[in-house]
Amino acid sequence: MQERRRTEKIKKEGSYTEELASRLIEELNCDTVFTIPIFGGMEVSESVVVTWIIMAVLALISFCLVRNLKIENPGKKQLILESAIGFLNDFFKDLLGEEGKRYIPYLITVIIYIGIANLIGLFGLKPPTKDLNVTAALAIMSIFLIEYSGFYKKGLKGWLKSFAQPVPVILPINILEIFIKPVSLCMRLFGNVLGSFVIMELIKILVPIAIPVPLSFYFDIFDGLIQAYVFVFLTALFMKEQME
Amino acid sequence: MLRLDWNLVFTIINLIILYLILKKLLVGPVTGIIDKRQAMIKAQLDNAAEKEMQANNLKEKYEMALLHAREESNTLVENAKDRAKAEYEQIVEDAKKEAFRVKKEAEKSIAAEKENTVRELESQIADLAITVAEKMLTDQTGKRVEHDVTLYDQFLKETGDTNAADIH
Repeated sequence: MQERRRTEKIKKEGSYTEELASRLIEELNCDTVFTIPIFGGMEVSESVVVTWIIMAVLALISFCLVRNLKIENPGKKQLILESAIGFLNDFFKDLLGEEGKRYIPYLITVIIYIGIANLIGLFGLKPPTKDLNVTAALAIMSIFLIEYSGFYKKGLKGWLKSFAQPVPVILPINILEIFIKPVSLCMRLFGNVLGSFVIMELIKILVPIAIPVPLSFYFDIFDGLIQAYVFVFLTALFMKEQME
Repeated sequence: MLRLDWNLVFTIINLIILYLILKKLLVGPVTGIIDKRQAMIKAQLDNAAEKEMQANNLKEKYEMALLHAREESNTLVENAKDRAKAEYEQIVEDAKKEAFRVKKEAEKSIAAEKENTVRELESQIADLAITVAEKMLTDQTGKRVEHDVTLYDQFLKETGDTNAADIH
């Protein structure tokens, strides 16, 4: 009798953990929203659709904000907008210097996009940065920009020579860096967002009331913004390194 | 979750489009307006500096002019003072001369008057003397005194009693 009850209990617990695992996996998985029926079916995942939503919202917001900008007597809205963009602009300008001015709009775009993408979980959508495709795309764009900035600054010859600097011995390391840098950028962002997402989901499943609130501030908001900052900061730093 | 597929390409395309959108709609206009404002502020500051320089120049000029005016007025006053002094001295001198002249004239006229008076007196005295002499000569009786000596003595006796005592 007791034996039976015990096995039942174990079974019950097992089914709990199984249920928890399946819920987690469901949360983690990026669903395919629809499939474009060419090239053998291109599956468009949730992250891409959420990115479209972010793009649409950003375009709409910036379109609304940028109307009626005045040189003299700017309104409160314009002052906030200006100080925000001015802050980002100055931040990147300090990092990149005068010669990196042309890359600033892209970096501002990326920090805004990653920041919103990391925070969009608060609105019930799945963060696109939880999808490896998105972080990989961001990292590929970054490494392309990093190498391009060096190429643009030094010309083809100088760019090729820079791989053998400061001493030719580290040439293989420098070549490896082309792959290491984006992989580290990609994995750092992906890992952080995924990790905080998993932790938050676990906490929410275990204690659904009160406890998740302060932790959500840390894992969802703080960590998300820090990762956006780190991503563009490192990209800008690598670009500066390339341009030297 | 851990798969790389077409979505990577989609995301890259999305990023490029988002970059273009934000550059066109957000970053471009805002930094443009900031730059424009900075340019405007710089222009205004330059303008202000220029105005200040002009004002300073004008101020210097006016101060110079004021200084000149003050100097001029000083010299004018000085000149006037000098002239007044000279005139004053002239007038005093003239007055002195005039006074001297008048005094001289007065003295002269007084002297003349005196002389005149003396002369008149003399003539009067002479007349008196004659009258007296006549009176003496005629005497109480109305008779003419014949003797000269008597006449003389009589005269002396009548006019200079005291003197006669000294002489004798």
